[in-house]
Amino acid sequence: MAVLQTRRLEAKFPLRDGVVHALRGIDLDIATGEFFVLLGPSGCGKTTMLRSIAGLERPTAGDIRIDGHPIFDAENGFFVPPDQRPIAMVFQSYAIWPHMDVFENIAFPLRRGRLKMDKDAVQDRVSEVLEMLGLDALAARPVITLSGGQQQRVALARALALQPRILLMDEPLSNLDFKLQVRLRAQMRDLMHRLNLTTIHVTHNQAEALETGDRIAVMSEGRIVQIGDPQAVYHRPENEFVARFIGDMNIFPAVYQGGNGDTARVETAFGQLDAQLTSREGFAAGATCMLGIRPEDIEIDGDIPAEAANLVTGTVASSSYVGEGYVHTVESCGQPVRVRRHHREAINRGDSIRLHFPPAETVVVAPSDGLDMEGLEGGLAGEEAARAS
Amino acid sequence: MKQILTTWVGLLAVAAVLFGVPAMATGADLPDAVKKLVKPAQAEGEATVFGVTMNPRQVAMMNESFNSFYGTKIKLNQIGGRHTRKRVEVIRALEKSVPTGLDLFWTTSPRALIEGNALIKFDWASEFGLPEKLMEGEYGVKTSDSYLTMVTINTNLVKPADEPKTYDDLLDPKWKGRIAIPRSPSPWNYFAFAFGEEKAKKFLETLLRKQEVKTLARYPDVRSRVIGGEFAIGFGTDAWAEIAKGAPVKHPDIDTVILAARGAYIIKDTKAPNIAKLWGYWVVSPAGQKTIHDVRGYSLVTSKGTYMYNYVQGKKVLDIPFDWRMKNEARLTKVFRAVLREK
Amino acid sequence: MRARLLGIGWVYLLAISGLALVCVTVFGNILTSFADQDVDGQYTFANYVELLTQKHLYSVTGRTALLGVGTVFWMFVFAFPFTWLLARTDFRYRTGLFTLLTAKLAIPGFITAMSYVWLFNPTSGLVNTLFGMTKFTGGALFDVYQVSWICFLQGIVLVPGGVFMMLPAFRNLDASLEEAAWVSGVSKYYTVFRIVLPLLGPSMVAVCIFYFVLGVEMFDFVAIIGMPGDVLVLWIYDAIAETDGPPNLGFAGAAGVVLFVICGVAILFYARFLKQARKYAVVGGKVRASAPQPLGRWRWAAYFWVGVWVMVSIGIPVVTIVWVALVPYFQPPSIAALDTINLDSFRDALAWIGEPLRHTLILMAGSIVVAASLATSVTWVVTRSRNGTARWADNIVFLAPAVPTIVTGVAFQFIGIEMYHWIPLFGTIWLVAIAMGTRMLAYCTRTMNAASLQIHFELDEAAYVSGVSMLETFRRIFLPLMAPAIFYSALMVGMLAARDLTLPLVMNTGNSEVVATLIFNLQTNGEQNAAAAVAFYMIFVLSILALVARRMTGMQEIRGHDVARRNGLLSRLSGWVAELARPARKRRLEYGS
Repeated sequence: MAVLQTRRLEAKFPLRDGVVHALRGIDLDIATGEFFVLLGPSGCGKTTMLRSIAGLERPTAGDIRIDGHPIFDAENGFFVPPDQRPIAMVFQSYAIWPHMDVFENIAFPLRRGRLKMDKDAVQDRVSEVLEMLGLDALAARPVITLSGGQQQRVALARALALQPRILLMDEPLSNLDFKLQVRLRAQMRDLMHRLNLTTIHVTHNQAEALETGDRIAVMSEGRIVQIGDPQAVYHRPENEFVARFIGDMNIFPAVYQGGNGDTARVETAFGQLDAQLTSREGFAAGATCMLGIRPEDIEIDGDIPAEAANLVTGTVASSSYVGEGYVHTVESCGQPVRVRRHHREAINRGDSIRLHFPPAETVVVAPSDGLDMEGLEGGLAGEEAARAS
Repeated sequence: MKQILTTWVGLLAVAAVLFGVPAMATGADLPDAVKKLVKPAQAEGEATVFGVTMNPRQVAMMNESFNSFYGTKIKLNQIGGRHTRKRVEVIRALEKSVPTGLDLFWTTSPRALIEGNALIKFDWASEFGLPEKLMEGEYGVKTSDSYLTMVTINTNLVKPADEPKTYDDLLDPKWKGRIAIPRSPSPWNYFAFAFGEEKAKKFLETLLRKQEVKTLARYPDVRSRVIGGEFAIGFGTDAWAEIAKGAPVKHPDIDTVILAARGAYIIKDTKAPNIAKLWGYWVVSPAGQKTIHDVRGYSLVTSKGTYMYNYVQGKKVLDIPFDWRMKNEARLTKVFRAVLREK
Repeated sequence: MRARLLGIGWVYLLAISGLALVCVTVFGNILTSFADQDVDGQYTFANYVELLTQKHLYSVTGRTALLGVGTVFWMFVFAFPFTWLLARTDFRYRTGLFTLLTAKLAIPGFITAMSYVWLFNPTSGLVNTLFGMTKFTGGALFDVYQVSWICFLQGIVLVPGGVFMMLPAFRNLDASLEEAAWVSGVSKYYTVFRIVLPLLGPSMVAVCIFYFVLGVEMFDFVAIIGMPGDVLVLWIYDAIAETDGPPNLGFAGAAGVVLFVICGVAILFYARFLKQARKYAVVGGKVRASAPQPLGRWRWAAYFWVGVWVMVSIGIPVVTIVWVALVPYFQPPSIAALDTINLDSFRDALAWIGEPLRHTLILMAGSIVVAASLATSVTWVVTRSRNGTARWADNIVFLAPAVPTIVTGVAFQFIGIEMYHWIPLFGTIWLVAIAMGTRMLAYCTRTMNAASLQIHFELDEAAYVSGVSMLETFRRIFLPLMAPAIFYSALMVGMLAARDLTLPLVMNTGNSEVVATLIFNLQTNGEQNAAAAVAFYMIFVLSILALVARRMTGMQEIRGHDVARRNGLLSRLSGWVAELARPARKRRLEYGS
């Protein structure tokens, strides 16, 4: 049974000049022990979603259940306040209480919160989590003397000590330096799995999402636009938004010609191409759609199998080094195509080149209207550049 | 108990001799109507008299004199404050049957209290055998004569030859910018009784416009700033206490003295009616008169040896009747307030 | 669920009580202005007709506004550089300056007024006499009976309050904003004018407007010194202090409403600027405290300016107090007067001050409890409950100072009578404390709101989601973090409660004489020397109390940095608050959410 279940969750906030529609009908089922990631650009509603689960926001419609028990139901005005919900939360700012030392930060909610544990039990519980997170030496330290990473662990320790049914994490790594972030991602996921703790993790960082999540829900403008495991989200985007938002993908306008439900044939500027139909909606013949392929999936001359279809010819317009490899931009039929290669090869500007879009890696998705391209492109590529530096 | 009383009387006699208290009614020769109140008063224990601001020393003097007069151990709280506001508060508290905490109201203007039905009627004259002229209407006993239009001069600044002899002397151009008066309309009510409303209005207007008098918000400021030499002449307040201390001020002999009564009135919800009545009887007795004279320079003009007694000798004295005040004060206050604001 | 609501309900209850008390004064004033003087319970426009037909209404109103503006001008001329010195420079005597600012709060206003009358009155002012230039010898050199002088004196009296209010904003300004300008080649002075002042502008204007409201309402100086023409508070005083007959409360109320309108306009600006200040606070958050700027040769200018203020606002009044205490009656210093000097008044004062001092301490404690608890609750509801409708309540609180103190006193006295059968507070010092606390509520919430906005919301939320109830969070997270702001508010309330004369005088029904009324009683009875001696003891006691309070709480230094280094509990807290605000700001900057 799902630990957490939300149905038709809606949230609207009145502003002076209109209404922000932060959630537009969210249905979620999260299973026990799952590490679930809410991923999306800023303003997509992921934080509102998390805070609604926590009880820090009150959605305007829908309902939320934990272990089948309702904790929120808009219809009859039922609302369990945050302190009565079996949850714990790690904040982006850590929200460590500055007037308490490390021990007290963890002990205070145990003693004074919902659990009302007695002194000995508190002592045991706090020692246990301190040890688990390697904080035992810091127990008596005033928290403002801690480094960012230590503070983050204190925040995590405080949440774990409560042994919640669901752990909520709001961009817990975003204030740490990059190397530490990368190291902690894996640690965090392994720890939660070991504890079999259901975790909902909000992030705008795709790499973090792909690395940690058992399942990822990609959100945009208050909706979940795709939900699935990291591989599915990465390799089989269901719409243009996900295709563009996750990683780097070449996207070309296309016209649907036909297919069998799983595969499709489309007409593009490069000619007729075959691809996987990953979009959930079907297309009628002649409908506009989008063709996508990741730069690293494009094969060039030497690699292309003998009887390959889906071939495109172009001219190398530019090449750039991006740390872990090279990205070449190839002009073909007036469209720029980005191709990623791991090794330095004899590819020079002005060379004529043949590209192969393997049908298994090429996808056809529905176009999304009014996407903010600036905000979406260069996701992983940018990150990798950062990683290299 | 009787023995204690006798002891007290004895002690009092000694005290009287020692402190030179003039011969007076002591516990022994009080009228029966008064004497029978002493015991219940002692049982009441404590009373609060509102109306005259006193410092701790003065409060102690009042207590001492009162208790030695009756041979009691009663605590008198003598408190002061804004009469105007207090009157409204008392009336309102009584309407809502909230204890006022007061027993006696000691004031020159009881009108609002009478109209607000806040006082107990008491015939001091027939009950205690006091002179009929001490009665203030059907309620109060006149405790002292107040002279609100009194003139004070700084003796360093005013040569004896220049001393004003009449009110009109204050309009002499040489005093231009050198006179201080309170912002209050009250003295002008007195003035109007003596010289008529028109003359009072004109006189005040001349003071304000031609003489450029300084108006000060509070009475004591007039006094202290004449003493300080900032102004040569003050109007509307006395300075007996300061004169006694040697301050360079005096009250020049002005031909007409205009008096209004300060009276004591029993508050309707008094918890100590007997003390209140004893207080009134004591305060008009020679002992009481001497005490309030020592304390604040107050007295009836008929009490020999007091400042006011000495001052009025040989002058024309106008005593404003109780009824006249009840009838005219409200209207006149408005008239003179308007003049003061017009300045 | 119900238990939880009941829990935090106490905070709401307190906040609502605070607002209700403010409403008592604000709406009490408005209601009185319509009350019929002759028929109880009837309402009429007669008071307004009477007021509006006053010949001098417009000039009086204009002069009142002028008085407010002038007062703020002088307050600012001193308060701004002092705040700057305390918050952003290496001025050596910061602690000393702070102590003097605190001590100034203890000096009764009438003493300051009186000392200036002596020195600068046109007929016998000491300075005028010294130069042989009085009104009677061809024109006075100085004439203290002028609006300009009253503005000046009111201004210098309000300096400590102004400084205490502006300090947080000055301390919180992010140094990197200045530094960014310097490294871009902008000169230091230009930076101050183009970067620093505009950023601090809203909070400075807010403080100015707050003190404008206080400036038009002050009574001591206009009453004692006086000037050509009236101001509204004098009309209000006259109407309430009428010696014959009932007070003209209706007229006082109507004049109060005019005062209100003047202040209301100012408060509208205030609310606007406050909003803007909030906006700026997000941008210019407490990211990093600035390093103190070396004063260099400017320190002589600083010493000079501080010296001027200390002399005019503390030196002269304190010397005056001592002198008045030494001579038997009020008189300007002279050779002849030297012969009469004695210490009797100090002895008398010592004998009399005991009981009133006890009452004063009770009053101080009561006012502090009332003001601090109500203000903390109001601040919590306004800034942290995310209750949208709560914000407007904030503006009502700021209206409270516009109600003249006398009117406040009368309103509370009447409410005390009405409520007596439920809560018998009428006639007790507790009612005075409640009135006093309510009057100070605006000052406290102004200080506390600013502090609360510095504390990140996630600190509360972290407690809620850890299962801690709202009340428990309020007690154990919010209150400890607010401690510095609460301390400064309490200090201010305590000092002003000890000094205030009007409320105890208006509301005293019996035996609870306080030191302020003792001073007044002595003064009224021609014992100015004893009055001055009592005032002297009072200044002494209050200064000691303030210093002890600061030492006990460890708040000895005022700059955020120094505080953090001290060991005291509260000082550590304020340092933590500074530290804490950091990630919050960063996040807002980055994500603009």
